[in-house]
Amino acid sequence: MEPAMKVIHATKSFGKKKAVNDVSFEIYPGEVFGFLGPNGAGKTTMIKMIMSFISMDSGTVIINGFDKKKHYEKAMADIGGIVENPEMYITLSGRLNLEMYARIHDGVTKERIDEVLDLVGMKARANEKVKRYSLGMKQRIGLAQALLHNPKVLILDEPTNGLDPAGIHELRDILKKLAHEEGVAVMVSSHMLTEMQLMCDRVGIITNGTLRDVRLIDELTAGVNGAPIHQIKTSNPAKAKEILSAHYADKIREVGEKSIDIEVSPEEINNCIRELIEGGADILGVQLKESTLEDAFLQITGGGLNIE
Amino acid sequence: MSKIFALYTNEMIKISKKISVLVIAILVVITAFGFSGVMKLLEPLLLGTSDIMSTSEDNYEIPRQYLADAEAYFDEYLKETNGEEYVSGFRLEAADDLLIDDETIAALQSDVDTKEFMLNEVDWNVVDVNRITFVTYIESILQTFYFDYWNQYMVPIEDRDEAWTARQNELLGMIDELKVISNELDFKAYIAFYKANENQFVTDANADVYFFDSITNYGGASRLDTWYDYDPTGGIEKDVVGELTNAFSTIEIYQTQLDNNVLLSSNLLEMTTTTTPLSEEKREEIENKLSVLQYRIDNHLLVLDSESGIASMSTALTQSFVKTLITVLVIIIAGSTISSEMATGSIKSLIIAPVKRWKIFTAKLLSIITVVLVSSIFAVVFSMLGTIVFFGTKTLVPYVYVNGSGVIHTMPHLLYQFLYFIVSCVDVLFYALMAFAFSSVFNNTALAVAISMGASYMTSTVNQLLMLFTHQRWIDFLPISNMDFITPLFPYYTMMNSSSLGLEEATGMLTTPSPIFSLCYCIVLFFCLIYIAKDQFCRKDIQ
Repeated sequence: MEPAMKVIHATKSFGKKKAVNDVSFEIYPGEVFGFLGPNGAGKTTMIKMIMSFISMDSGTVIINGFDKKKHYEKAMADIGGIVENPEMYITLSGRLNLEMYARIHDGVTKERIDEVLDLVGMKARANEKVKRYSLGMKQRIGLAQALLHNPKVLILDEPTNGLDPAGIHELRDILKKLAHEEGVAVMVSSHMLTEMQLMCDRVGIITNGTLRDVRLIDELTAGVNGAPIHQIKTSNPAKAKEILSAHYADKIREVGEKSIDIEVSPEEINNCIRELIEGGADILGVQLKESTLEDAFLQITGGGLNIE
Repeated sequence: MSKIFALYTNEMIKISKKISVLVIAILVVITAFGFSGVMKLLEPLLLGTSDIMSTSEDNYEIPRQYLADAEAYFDEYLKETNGEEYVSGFRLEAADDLLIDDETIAALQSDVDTKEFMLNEVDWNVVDVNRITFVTYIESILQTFYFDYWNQYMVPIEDRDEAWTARQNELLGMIDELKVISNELDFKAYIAFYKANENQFVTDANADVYFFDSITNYGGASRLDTWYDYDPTGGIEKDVVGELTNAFSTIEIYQTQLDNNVLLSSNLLEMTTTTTPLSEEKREEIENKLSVLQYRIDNHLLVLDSESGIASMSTALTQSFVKTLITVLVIIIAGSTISSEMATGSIKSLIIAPVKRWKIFTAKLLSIITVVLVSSIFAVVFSMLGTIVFFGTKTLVPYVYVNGSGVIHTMPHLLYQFLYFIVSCVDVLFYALMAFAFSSVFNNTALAVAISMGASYMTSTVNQLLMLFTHQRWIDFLPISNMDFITPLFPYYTMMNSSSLGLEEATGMLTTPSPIFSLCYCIVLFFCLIYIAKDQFCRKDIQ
């Protein structure tokens, strides 16, 4: 499949510090790509280069087959997004903002404006001035603006900033729907691992301006043997360990005060639980361990979330 | 192109929603009507007690008759008293029947007293101010001698005898001597000169002769003015006389220059008048001005009575106020167009659009030029409306001009005033571009607005300072010297109002470079500012 966007050897220095160092990656239609890294890793710089806010020292970006350096306007026509905060003309209404934005894109109809306003749930308040909006509402209008011209690539920098939990959930659904049903290539940057895990299909990890790894989210959440880690809560972990050691000795990862972590496939977990119950251990709960992405992250970056 | 137009439309929407636009528009309307209204209310105060002429026809005909009467009287008088022996006004005996009152004699007497006091009591070597006064005084005496010298030419050629030649030489000798004294600031020499030639100076004994001289030899216009002072019985309004006198004397100044083939120019700093040979170019210019002014007088197109004078004054003041207002507006808009979008981050939605940055820049530039144009049109239309509402259409005399082939044309007043105002707003465009460039370079609205506003208010101060450097041509390269397109485009604009008539040539004033130079200069400046702004905008990193 042709990638929707291709970043080739992107490099940018501020003074002597290399903010982005030779980063290359691809995003395909129909996927949500997560751009993960600690604060100051170069996520926003990379996104700003894609969006032409700042120039590239070297390298290029190809969007929908058009090299930005050669066919700037054609390449930019297929890109939409929000960088940092959604900024609009606050003295104008949300709708007027969209109308102005629509004017500089080809083929955006009045119906399309209503359609995106509907999608982000802002139709009722679209005629109010933007300065009366809350941050969450601005985010919604910003998303509507980013989607207005049906971009093939949608880039959102920290999109959940300022959204309430319900809003985050809604955004997640919208993005997934866009990617999986409409075939849009979505790129999302964040430093929040759990969020990424819920939203993305593929994740690129960037630290200190260098792209360390790009993996499918399933690969990443999978442990050493490629199976997910399950956390079984029990009042007596020592006893549970003893029971499980019979068949799964090499799969026990960690024994906590009230829990035991075990790396098994979903088919095997059924077996484990049966053995535990038969062995007389009490089970208080079983869950997928959410910190696995964090572990993977630490494993890949080889350190904490420090800003250098 | 369609993208630029779309961006331009967006810019105009943004500008139209700005609060400053609304505020300034309201202020312009208030100023236009309010100021004309206040002037109308003040009219009785400004006019004083003088009567207003009932018909404009009288304004022209009565003074003319008056002037003819006065000239006939003095011609007769000259013939009677001097006959063939007329040599110089200075040597005439006092005319017994001349109308001269005690007040004038007292004024002349006090003038003489002052001069004598200055000569005798003041230490010229100590006080610099006094030295300047000394020079000024000598210059004025020099002028008297010059006039006397010129007056000699009133004697018909066949009557010029040895006495005439002797007097000419005597005057020339004295002029030379005085020049040396003046140059060397030699006060002692001056005292000696004064004592030796005492009889040549105006004293109380020949004050009336001096006075007579002023009426007979200064030409018809001043005769009219003077005559009015002594016989204000013709039912004529003083202001009208003043205005018409201006017109007549200006005609005389033009005529004198053409007849003698000299260019008279006044040095405003040194308070002197100098003469230089008349160039072919200047001759044509003066001839054109003469025919325009004559046309205005013949067709009664001068703004004469005092009521009309107040109306023109009101228009001029209103327009200068509204121009200040729109200058403030365009500087605010141009100074914020880039930097405020950078500050609020709203520039992002422009950058992300599929248009190259220079197109965004071009749209912004076009929108600023539009604002300058639209706001000047708005301002001039409302200021004209204000005048018409409160003063009627009486002052709206057409603009008279001479085209390339020497034919006189007229332009309707409203059209003239409209074009005049728009042309005078060239500097507003310059300040707007300046603010725009600063806004792009420094990303700081306050700084861009402050610098441009400062520049626009500094202009008049700098202009006065520059008068000290009038002979140095580097001032031609200052922007301020090249923003005046009124003079080349409307060379006869000073004749719209008779009070601005008179000797226009002035050596002590800032002389502007040639219109072609100014035009090229402005074009280069225009593109430099745009280039700086564009270059900075297109390379800018958006944080």
